[in-house]
Amino acid sequence: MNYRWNWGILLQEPYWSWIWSGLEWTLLISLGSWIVALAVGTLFGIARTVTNRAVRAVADLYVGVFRNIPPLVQLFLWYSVFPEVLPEAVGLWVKRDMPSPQFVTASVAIGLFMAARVAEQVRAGIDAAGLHLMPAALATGLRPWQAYRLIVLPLGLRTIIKPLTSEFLITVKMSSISLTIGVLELTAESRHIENYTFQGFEAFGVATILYLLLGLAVTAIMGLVDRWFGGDRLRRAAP
Amino acid sequence: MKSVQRVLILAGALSAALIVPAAAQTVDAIVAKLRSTGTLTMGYRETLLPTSYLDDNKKPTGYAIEMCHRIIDDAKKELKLPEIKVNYVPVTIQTRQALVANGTIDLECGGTVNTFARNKQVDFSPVSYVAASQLLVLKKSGIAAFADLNGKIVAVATGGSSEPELKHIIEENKLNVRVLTVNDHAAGLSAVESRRADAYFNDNAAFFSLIKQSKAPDNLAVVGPEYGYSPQGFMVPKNNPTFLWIVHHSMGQMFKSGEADKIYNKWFGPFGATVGPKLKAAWETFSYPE
Repeated sequence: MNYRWNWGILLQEPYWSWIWSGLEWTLLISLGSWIVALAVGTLFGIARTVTNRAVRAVADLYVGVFRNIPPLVQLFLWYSVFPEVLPEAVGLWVKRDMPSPQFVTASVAIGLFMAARVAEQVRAGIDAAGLHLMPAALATGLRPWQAYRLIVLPLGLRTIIKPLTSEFLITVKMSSISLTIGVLELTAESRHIENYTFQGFEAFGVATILYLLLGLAVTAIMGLVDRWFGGDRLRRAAP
Repeated sequence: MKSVQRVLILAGALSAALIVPAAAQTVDAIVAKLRSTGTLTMGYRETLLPTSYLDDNKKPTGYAIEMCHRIIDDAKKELKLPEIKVNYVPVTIQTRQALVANGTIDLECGGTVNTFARNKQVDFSPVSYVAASQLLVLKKSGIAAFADLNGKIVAVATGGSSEPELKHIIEENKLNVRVLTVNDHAAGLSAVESRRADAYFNDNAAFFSLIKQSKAPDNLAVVGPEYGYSPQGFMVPKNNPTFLWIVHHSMGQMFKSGEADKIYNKWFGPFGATVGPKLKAAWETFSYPE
């Protein structure tokens, strides 16, 4: 194979700032989607454990729909189809005047897909660690929402911080699908550099290392969060 | 013991191949391949009408494909081969350079702009087509020139030559423009038609197929002065002097005999395009005497 390696090109302008701005977008989309995923996922995860059948059915439907449609298709639907079914003025606002339409769309789309997965973790956590304490909690005279807030959720959510690490890591890597709607995140910027310089191996090499470092950082941070909330002590104490 | 040795030798050979890949490349690999297997791998674009695209029977066709077939016929004569079998490989804007640079494709028959940066990794044929950048807009938008873009959203594809050009135009005319990056031409068209963007800035060679793809071609207009000079050519892997000579010679003959004009009119004529002065000048430059 006839390839001329040139690692130095990545330190030249504008390629260095392209990688940097790509990394910033990857971080922003990862965090944005993760916030959406945690908020929506926790809500629907709790909803899947309550006694009210209608609430549970809605939550089951959400998880069933959002977990089983490929995320790439969901992103396309949010970006190309969703604005068209809105009233014209609102649709145009979503497409043109909303702050960074591509970034918001990507964060919401990836976030809602990941929320279905987070909801499953939350449900599993509550089922495993908290739900069997429910009768005891109610017997002490707590109302159901108090029992959730004081006993079921603190125990249930604490057990799933480690499995949530994987979901966070998937979110970081999933952020790259936003390149299909034109967001210039890390993967797109690597391709961008390849297109202008033909030095694709170098650009993708650096992107790979950056994704790896991001992943390791996320793992470390989630490890700290787990220790802070006492998830590891809880697991060790479990029979 | 012997197997350990063998593994070590293999590992050494592999790492050597990774460190000095250029040294492993033989000169004139394409000609050697033509002589031994009689096949040539041609890269084509699937939707670049009328330059390089799949016809209704899913067969690569178009202006560039026809020129390349003439080149292959000349290669057959020059190398005195009984037959050359053509393997077709589809390429995209994103994959074309890498596939030529690594030798997967012997001749890329699309519309790649010849730049000095690209010449570091691949070689180019003489100029096949000259594109210039223009704007694709909705007719009712009222945009007719770059100055009308003030306060508007302009879509541009990443990776092509139009992106730096747009930056230049914005700075030159001190325009206040929001730039929407899109992934490919289809996304550019959809951005204009859905009014996500007011204009799609690109080289006009791509607009022929976009207008044809559109469900409402009558709503679309190509406006703005022709900006820039983007001479396109066919890409050939480096280190193939003999094959590159055949390409230059074959195309030079087409330019001199007027055959190139005929092929151009056959494919671009239906779109109302004629051989422009810049393309004519480029062809004359490459019409070396025998």
